[in-house]
Amino acid sequence: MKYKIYTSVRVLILSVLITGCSEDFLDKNPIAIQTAETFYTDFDAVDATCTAAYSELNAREVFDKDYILIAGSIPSDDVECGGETINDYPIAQHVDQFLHTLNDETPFNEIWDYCYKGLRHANTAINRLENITDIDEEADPAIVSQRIGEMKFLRGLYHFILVQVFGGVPIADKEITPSEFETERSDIKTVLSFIEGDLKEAIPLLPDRSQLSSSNIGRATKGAAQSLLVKVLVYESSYAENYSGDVRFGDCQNRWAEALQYGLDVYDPNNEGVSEYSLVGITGERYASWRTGTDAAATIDGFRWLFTADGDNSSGSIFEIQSISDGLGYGATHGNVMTVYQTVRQYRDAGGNIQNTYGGWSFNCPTDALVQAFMNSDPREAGLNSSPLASENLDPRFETTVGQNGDSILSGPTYEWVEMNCDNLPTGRIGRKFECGYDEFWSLANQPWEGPMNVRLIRLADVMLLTAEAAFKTGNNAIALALVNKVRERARMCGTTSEPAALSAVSYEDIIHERRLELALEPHRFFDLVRWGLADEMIGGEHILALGPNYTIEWVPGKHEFFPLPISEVEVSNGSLVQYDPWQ
Amino acid sequence: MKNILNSNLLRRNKSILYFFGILLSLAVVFPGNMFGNSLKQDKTITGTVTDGASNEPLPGVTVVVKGTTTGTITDINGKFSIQAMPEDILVFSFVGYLKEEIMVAEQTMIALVLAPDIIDLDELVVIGYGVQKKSDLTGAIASVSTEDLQKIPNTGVGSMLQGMAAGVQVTNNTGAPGSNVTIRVHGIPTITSIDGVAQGQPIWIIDGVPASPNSVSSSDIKSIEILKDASSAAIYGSNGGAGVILVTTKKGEEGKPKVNLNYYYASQVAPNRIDMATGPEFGRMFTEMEALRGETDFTFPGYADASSFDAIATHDYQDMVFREGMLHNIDFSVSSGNDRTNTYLGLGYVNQEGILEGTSHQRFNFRVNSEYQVNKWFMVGERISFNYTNTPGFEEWQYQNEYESPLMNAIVVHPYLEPYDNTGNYVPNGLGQAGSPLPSIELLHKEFNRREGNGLVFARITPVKGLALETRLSGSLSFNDNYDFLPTFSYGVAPGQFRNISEIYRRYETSNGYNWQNILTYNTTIIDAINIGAMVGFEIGEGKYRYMSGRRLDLATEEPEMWYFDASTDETSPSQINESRGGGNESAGWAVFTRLNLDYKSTYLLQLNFRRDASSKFGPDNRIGNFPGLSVGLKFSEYDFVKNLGILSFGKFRYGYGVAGVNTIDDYAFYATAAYLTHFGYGFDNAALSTGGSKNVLVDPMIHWEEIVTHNYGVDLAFFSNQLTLSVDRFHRTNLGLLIRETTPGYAGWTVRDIYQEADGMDPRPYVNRGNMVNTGWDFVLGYTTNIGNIQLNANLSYSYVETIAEDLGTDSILSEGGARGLAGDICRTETGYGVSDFYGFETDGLFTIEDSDSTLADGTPFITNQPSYISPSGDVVWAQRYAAPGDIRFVDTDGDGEITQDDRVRLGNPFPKHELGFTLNLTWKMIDFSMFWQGAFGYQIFNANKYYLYNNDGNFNWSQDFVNDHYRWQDVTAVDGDGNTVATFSANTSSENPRLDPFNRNNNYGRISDFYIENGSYLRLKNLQIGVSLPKQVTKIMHLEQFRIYIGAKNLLTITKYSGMDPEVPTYSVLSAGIDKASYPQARMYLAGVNIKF
Repeated sequence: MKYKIYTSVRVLILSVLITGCSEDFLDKNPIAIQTAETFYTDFDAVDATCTAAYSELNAREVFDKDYILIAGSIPSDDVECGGETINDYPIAQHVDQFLHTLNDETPFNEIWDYCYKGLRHANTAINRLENITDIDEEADPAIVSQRIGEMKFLRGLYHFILVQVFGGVPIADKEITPSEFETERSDIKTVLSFIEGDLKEAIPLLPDRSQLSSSNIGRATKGAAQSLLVKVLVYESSYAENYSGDVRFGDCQNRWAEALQYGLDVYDPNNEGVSEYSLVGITGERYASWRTGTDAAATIDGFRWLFTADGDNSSGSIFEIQSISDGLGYGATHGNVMTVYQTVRQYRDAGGNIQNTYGGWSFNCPTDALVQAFMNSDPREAGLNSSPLASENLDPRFETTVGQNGDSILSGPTYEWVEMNCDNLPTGRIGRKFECGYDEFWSLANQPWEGPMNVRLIRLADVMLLTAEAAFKTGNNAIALALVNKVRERARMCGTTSEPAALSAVSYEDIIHERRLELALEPHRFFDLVRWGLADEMIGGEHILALGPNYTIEWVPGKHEFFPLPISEVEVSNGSLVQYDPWQ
Repeated sequence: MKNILNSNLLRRNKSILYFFGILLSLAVVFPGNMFGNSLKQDKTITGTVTDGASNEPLPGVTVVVKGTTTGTITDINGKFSIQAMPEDILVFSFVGYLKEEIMVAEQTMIALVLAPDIIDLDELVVIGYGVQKKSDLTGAIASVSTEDLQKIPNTGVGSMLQGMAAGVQVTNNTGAPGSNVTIRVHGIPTITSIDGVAQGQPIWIIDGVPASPNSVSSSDIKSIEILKDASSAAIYGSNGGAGVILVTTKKGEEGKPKVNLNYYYASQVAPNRIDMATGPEFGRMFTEMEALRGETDFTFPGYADASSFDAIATHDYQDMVFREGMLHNIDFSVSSGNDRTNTYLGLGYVNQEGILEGTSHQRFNFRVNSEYQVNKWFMVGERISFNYTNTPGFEEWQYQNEYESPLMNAIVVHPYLEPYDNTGNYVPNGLGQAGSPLPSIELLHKEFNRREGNGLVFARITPVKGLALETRLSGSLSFNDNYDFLPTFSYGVAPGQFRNISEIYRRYETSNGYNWQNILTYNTTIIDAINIGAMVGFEIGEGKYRYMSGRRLDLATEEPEMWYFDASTDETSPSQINESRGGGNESAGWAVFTRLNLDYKSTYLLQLNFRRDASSKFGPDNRIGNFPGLSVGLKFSEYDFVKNLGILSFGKFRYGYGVAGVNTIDDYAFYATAAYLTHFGYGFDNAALSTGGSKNVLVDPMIHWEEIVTHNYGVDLAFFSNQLTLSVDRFHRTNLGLLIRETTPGYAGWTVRDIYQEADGMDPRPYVNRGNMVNTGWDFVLGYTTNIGNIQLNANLSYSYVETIAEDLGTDSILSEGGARGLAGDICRTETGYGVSDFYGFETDGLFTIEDSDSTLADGTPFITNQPSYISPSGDVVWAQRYAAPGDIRFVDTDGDGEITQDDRVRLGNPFPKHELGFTLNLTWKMIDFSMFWQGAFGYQIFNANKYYLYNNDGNFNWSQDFVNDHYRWQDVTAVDGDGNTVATFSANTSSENPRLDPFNRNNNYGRISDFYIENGSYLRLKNLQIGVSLPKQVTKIMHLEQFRIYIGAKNLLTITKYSGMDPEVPTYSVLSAGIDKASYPQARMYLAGVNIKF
């Protein structure tokens, strides 16, 4: 009996000893995934994180639909929201009507989140690039410093988008740990200065565009950093001019002269041969395209071609988000969704019947005001013609920008050229700059959100017109005139008339007008109106046709220049992030 | 045993031999002296024992001479014969009947009526790592009557517990067959979630070892106990925080082999529909909408004038997607045993069609339980089970997602839409966003197959009296094979209307694990008054999970034989590479634990528990958790003065305190990881993706156990010889250091808004220990059993009340989650000092009426002036709802600042029932048995997100009939065609309580989260009703059967509720965004008929 007791106890103790005391037993390492320590042991891993910093640019629908369409275009006076009905994408409708509230946060919190995600990767990469050559002897110091330049460019870009949308934001200049979660927004000047510092460090580290091997197209270049710096300086100068004393903007200064200098580094009208970039179509060159249908010999003009997937990474682009139709599906794809959002939905079949199901989603409908601006070859916007199609002297950019009944679109069940129907759209028009190409429609692409067309974030014409502004503001009217005329020349060469004619002298209004026509529906007009201090004048009182004839926009100065911080972000900050007063 | 037989045979006359075979099984009832008595002068006593309830003879009743091993049992006619002395006392006992003692005296004939024992307070209750007499329990433990359970037609053990135990809330995640359930013991166990699914589910301990509830079939269950408070659950330490469900499966009963066969057939239907507009009603409403929009030449497609609206077809898609679902259930078991060995064999098969087309569930299960008493001190046994389930249908989350739900489409699709065209193809909807639900259902080829095996071997050594060493080794293995075949089809080009390439997705998953326990127990009694029970044990276990999945395109043909990767003819698509996935996770833990029970004269009871747990889920410095438990009891009915009152047959006061833990978080949550992910790739030069990689989770390496501290006060009372019983429990439970996903600011670069739309599908937010939560409440259980003449009555009423407060959420003082289509922002808010998952939004105060207006806009629209306003800095009056017209919803300016802003939002309700009710009634009258079970939940709200569709203002979806026939219209509306002819007129209606139809949506009536969507969810449901008839014993005897019973029943026959949706039992498995109804799969109503045969 005693023996049995001892046996029992011994078995029990033994079992405890065998298993319990082994410390390793509880050490379960993650499966199929590395820990951060084992991951960052060579340059390739850090380089992959540099790639990740770019990757957030085509995360979900953020930098195509949210930024380009909803934040940058829909609130402007160039368009009404559109869509199928007034309930189609309510938040976009509210933004168009300037009835958006803190509740309407979704596209804006995505812009916020994904800018900071990109910044997280960039900061992670920068921290590790700085001493990677100590860890990995095979790391090429030249590429390492180029990557540091790229990361600083991206850090500048993400911050700049945040400033455009939200005004002053917290600066993310390091990997943020949980103890630093509660943070304050910096004023606009502080953020712009931070971007400026990054870009100035990046410029000497970055290669020229022509030095990039073809497999590296899409990486940040010296020209991209210079161009972004022009924007930063122009924005600061405009803010200083128009918002002096407004605490949101801090101590913004007149920086026009520096802006001009960096602008001329990108493109000097008096020395254009040395530029890395050129205006596509300025010599009247024409391009083959799906748009010509079955006529293989037919071609399209350069401006039209710029707004097709074929025009990706052209010599007229300075920085583009690289979009590919990768078949990964909604949320995962690296394609863009902006083409399907901005393509008309309805068309008329051979029998003239309206068909509703074979097109895009009909957002971004050009307003009368934009059409009238186009009608006017005289940039001072007088003598408006009420019947655009009747004009022989229409600006050639019009056709690429505005679609209306009678225009053809490649649609229908078999993707043939059919007549678009805009009757159901609030303004009776649809934007065409991002019209779906043959391979971007639903039944041909993997999915509608996988558009292959790159997002043209910085175009040469944009930088030239900013440089023109800076030249004008610093009294260099000749440079300004030359730049504006270059842009007009390219437009003219893309058309068949002598319009738009070269200007003999340039005014500030000319530059504003030219920016509007050249960059319509791209994410510039709203941000430009804000920095010019013209938003109240141009947007306030604008009719919202979708709401019926009596409803006009009420612009609240001090409030509507920027979108409110995402309310969820304010809530989680425990009071450290504060909305601008009218949004509180 | 041999000795017993020999000694008995020596002194028994031949009549005893008649019972020889049966006697083999009686060892257990002959305790004590194993060596025979000396011969005495005795006489033969004969008699009959009958059942007090049915007056039928009772076979198998044990008759023993008290204090001896002399005994017999009654034969098939209830007759017995025994030798006894006049001074002997005969003890009659039979399971389920009250024990009777009869003095022999001068009697030679005894006719005894045995009364059924309704409540057996001496029954043994399974507790953690052991058993205890029910009357000696000091913790809050609910025993579920398996007899009641098994009357409920159900295919899952979890859902059967609904309403069965006070304080145990069970909600079905969906009404789909084979669906999971969410169980909450004493309120919300924790707010920890993984991928949005609430964790902190009770652990299931089956035959002493942790196992999944899927591994046991309801018919194989002998008993279920639920440990509700931490004083009892602390012995399970780490995992016991959310409660412990102890399941004991049947073992072979002693005696000749017994066969039990139960079969039922059921038919299931959807209990109700949502009344939607008919085709003509829709056509008229749509025309009205166009007229309001200012359209002057609109005619409803194909219908020229008002008189022809009646010609618009009505297709009832709810009718098309719902069906009458069949169910076959068969259970078969064989049980046998003797004093040395016993075995139980159980087999079961269920085939259940869902009430929604395309959904079904099949299950096969098999179990063998055996035990071998090798010798006096050594016993071994095993439990082996296997089950296979096959569940075609949608995934659970799809039923809850308004974009995916097939039911949502069935409700809101336009009624005029033809389901099929002339060629049998689907018809795309040209007018609105809601498409036909038929393609998603009819083209669905998705299946979940699960095979699971569980094995347990155990051995017990009892070297001396009172001491036992038990070792239990269990292992489980499960294998899932899921696939989703997507055929090609085309009836349009919008997403969902075509697929021009076939696709097969398959996913294989394996899980395996083991658990080894060694338990030493010692029980003794000292100085005849103090009972001591001591237990010490050790446990260790590991679990592993692996998966592999892939997707290939363009199969050779679309036959099921081709639904494999090798059948793919596509060798180039990148997706096939990106969709090859695989990985896994592992966890391990060990624990030592001990328990001491002391009772003095069975009156004063004390129990002490302690468990030390170690878990791989936490970092090296935080793995250990210590979980003490203490409980005391006082059986005051043992006091003489209480006994003398004669009312109380049992009375006990209990108090328990305990600490349990929560570690139900993802594995590796403390490891900072980095990964190469497709999402991080980038297509430089528009070429294929370059590899991207980065850190992919943010972690707090110092996370540790969440602790749950419970105080439980209870009273158990029984009156009138245990006929009436009452138990009351008061609990107070505090979760300390809630393990929650910290809401990381977007600024840190980690935030996700919707993890399902994250490219890598991972939730990168760190788990942190933050904040406390308190659950308090009451449980009441009232039981009554009696015999009225021939009727046996048994009724049980349970009621529980629970309230949950997020006491302190630390720096995350507000957690907001849960959205719905068309609504801006999060619906649910969990905030320090308030409830969990409160609905949060705007309060409404009816509609603006024409009386609220004293001016008009330029177009003649009345302008509402009876509303809040403020004066802007420029001196203008700014109206709170400046676009409102009569018939629009008036939102309440709760802070009185003249504006409707975020600050006006208030709490609108809570999705978790505060009151839960269960009522069971069993009646037996002769051959007839009747049972009824009501279940109810009260004191909660539902966010009826369907109303966004049913009251829409753009005609994209069909309207509810209620809205079409009655909505506010401040003036007559006339619709005209292109020639100026009146197509239809709609007269003013200024008395309606439904908002106006405004195609411009100027007032944003529905886009705001408001109490427009809030409804009372309370319901009382007749969960089960069953009537059975057993053939009389005389008849079954001829048929050589022990029992033959046929029965009919109904489940969910009646639901009393004010809720307007299909089913008030709205899923709450996502704890921070619970109770949002998005056309959830409703519970079926079931009618069944079955037969139960025993022989």
